[in-house]
Amino acid sequence: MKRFIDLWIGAVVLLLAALLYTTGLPKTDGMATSIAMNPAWYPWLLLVMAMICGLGLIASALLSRTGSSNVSAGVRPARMGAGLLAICLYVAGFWFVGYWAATLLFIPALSWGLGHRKPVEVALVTLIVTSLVWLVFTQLLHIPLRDWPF
Amino acid sequence: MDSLITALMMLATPAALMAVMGGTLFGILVGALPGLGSVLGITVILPFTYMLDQTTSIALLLGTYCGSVYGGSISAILINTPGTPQSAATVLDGYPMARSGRPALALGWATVASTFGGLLACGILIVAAPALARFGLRFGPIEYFALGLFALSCIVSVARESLLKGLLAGLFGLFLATVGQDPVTGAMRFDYGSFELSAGISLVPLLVGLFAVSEVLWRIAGPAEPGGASIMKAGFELPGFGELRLRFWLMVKSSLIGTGIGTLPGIGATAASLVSYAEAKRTSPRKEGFGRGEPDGIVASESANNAVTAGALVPTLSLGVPGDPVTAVMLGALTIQNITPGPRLFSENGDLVTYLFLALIAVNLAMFVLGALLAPAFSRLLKLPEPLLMASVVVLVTVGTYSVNSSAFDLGIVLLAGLAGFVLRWLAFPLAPVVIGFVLSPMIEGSLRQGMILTGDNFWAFGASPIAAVLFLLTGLFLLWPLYGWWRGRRRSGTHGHPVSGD
Amino acid sequence: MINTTFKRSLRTLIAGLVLSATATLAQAESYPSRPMTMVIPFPAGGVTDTLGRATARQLGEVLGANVVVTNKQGGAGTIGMAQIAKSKADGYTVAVVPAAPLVNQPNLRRLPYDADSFDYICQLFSSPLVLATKPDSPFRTLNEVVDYARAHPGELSYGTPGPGTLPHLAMEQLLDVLDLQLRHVPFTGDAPGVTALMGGHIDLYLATGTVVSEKELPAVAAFADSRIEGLPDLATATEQGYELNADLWGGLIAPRGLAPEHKARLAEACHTVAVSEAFRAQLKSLGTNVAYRDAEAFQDYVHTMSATNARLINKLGLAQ
Repeated sequence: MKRFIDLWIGAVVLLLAALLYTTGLPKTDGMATSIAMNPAWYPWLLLVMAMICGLGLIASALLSRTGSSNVSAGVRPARMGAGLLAICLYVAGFWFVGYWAATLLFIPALSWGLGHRKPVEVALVTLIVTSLVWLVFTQLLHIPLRDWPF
Repeated sequence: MDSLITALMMLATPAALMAVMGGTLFGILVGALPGLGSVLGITVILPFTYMLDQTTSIALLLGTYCGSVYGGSISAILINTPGTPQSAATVLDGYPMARSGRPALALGWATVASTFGGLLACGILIVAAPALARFGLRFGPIEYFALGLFALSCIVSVARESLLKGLLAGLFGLFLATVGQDPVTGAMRFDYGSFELSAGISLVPLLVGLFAVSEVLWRIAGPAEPGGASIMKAGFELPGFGELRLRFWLMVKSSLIGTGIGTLPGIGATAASLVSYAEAKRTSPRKEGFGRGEPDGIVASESANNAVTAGALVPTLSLGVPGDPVTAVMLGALTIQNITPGPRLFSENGDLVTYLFLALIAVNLAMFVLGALLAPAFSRLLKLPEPLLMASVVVLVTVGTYSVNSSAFDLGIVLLAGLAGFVLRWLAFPLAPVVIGFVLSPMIEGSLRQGMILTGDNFWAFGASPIAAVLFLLTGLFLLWPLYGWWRGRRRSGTHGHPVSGD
Repeated sequence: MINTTFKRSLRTLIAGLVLSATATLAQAESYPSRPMTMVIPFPAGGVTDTLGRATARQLGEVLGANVVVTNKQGGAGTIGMAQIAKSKADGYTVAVVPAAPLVNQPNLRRLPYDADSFDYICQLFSSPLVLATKPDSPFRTLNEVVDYARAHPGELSYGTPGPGTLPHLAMEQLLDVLDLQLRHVPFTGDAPGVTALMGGHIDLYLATGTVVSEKELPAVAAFADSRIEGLPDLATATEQGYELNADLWGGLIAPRGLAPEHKARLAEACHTVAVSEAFRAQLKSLGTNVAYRDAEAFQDYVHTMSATNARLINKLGLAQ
């Protein structure tokens, strides 16, 4: 298992480094031959070192005789996807429909989704957290939040 | 002596003492809120100082400054989110300690260590500020490069399971910092035509995503933990005397690291506390417990970052050169109060300088008292049922990140960094090296290339600087240390070790 | 316990809602009728920020409205400038900006804005630059520097707060006129650059007069029309035979397309601020001078400087 995963990580690192190197750096013309004036030199060095580490991972995975995994077991990717989606929706909601609506919906929704379903407690905590955060930011710190849709 | 009495009289007014308490209280609150940092705290307090006199303003500003650095540890410990970047290293052991049912004690350690670090650094500032500042001036680009490399070598000691993964995580952090404008020529790198990306990735959204959002995701989707692990004792618990004595020298060492790094303009408290953490992990007899709630980790990080506050005032006050963005704001605030930091401040305005030191000591003491009083209120947060707590954390970090720059792009970074943090945890990559790399990268690249300009592209000329030469040597020793340990262990036991998993 | 806290926060909440609702209703004919936003394209605590906050306070008093400052940093000021350019030109978004992101950056690379994206309200400040040398430098006059640099091309080094900043272009212009070769060492802001000069790691640095006088750095020339306050012994470049000026300047702008009556009101308020004693004193403590230009003159000056710097940038091949 470990061998398999480390092989994959190594391959991804190699691929990503090569991709970044070829796409993201400014073209260096003849003028920028010195290290000091070459904007691509330092990122290039980092990417090469990353590739060496990636190769190292692959090599150690191939040479390793133990099959034990040091990757966390029991991760539930589907739940992760759902959680990330919920957080993304909240952030988008915060941006597009404003702090109040998004927060008043998000806290109960996430809590419900995670299996905590005591209506009174949830409602109470939602209201307190929402208004407390709003008060601290807008009234105490004078930082306007995106209060309402606009 | 006269100066001391005058200064004491200045501090012993109700207005000044109230400013000490009020500033510290405000600072702790701002620091504990993720996203909001020391700079924002001081900026918010700034308009008030226009209306106050010099002494009250100084107390208010110093209180906010030190309080915010300490306050960052509270959210680091309780919700795995460095409240300010300075507390990035505190999460590494503070949060596991809280999770194992000892949040009160973790907060106690952070408070003791913070106060100790702050006070020791104050002492050094009083005795040696001008001399330290003069020494700091000997650090030019070449010396900074050597120092950056030295600090970076601590990644080796925080890489837990696998050295290769630690290095990769470090390189990832180093690389993220190169996105945007090249510091020397102004050319764009990895911006992919996006205007927002051309400004680079900011530290706060990266940290908040990497630690807080990934933690929320981890609790939602990580391996189910055996129940009953968290017997939360809300409150505040000071560590026992024996425990303290055991870690006294660690506190001294971490505070010295913090003061030293703080004295050099431009490195900052985040790097200082990470370096101090790594150094503690390298040498501690309890290194096995690091990352699982070992008090040493909290002590190393918190003593160091609070020592930086006083340390960073050294160049700010005696040269007029701010060491980091926070002291830059402080400098601006002091200038508005008609205090002109610089070489002449100490000779011409001795009373005021003494007052400033005393106020700094008072602030550190206030921090201890207020920390003990406030911690129980904060740790009440943990009594919330987990789903509600997680939802509140998401709300807090979103609002906190938004408040810094009102930027949708930053919010996007939070989400991406959250996903990245989750994946890195899953694949057993350590998170600390990412932060270390990201914080140090601009300094390493900038100073390396500045140095190359000065030496005419001759890297070997870097060795001509004695300071740099010593630092290069130390870096080499640090890197070889784990190999030596592995070799010795192998000789002694005769078994096959694994060269890449050394500490 | 929870209940009372809850009630209390709910009461405050309702009070807040009612208040903001009335404020919206009261939005009547007079401008400004609600809080204004001032964008500052640099981080909190820097010189621009402190200047901007001082202006916001004074402007708020004159206009009788709250002026809320937001910092929008990054990309040498360009991120904030882009946001200002695309804000609604309703008179409620203004900005205090230094000249570099207006007259240099758009000439250096492609940006989502240029000097035409803004309405200019008034120029507020200007601080002349001074050529400082490292503490143990043998140079006493500009001529000595020029002679030495001519005899030893590429040996002396000078620092700047970054590529494409006003001091960088000013220095390049100077070197171009005098036909000299110096090494350019860019730093990330004045603080690290000046520190490096104080430590003797670089030879020269173009900084404001206040920096030079406060840090007690030796200097060889002031790039101003007349000798500057605080450094009365320092000869100007003109006195030494080099007719060159350089300064850091900036002012109040807004997104383009303001209603004429809003622009007039803002310009009038800006003038009141610029001539007030309080503002002058505040700027002085920050080491810069009030330098007022009215809307039209400010706009013309920006365009002139933009064209000049564009030529310089092209000539030196600095553009990306």
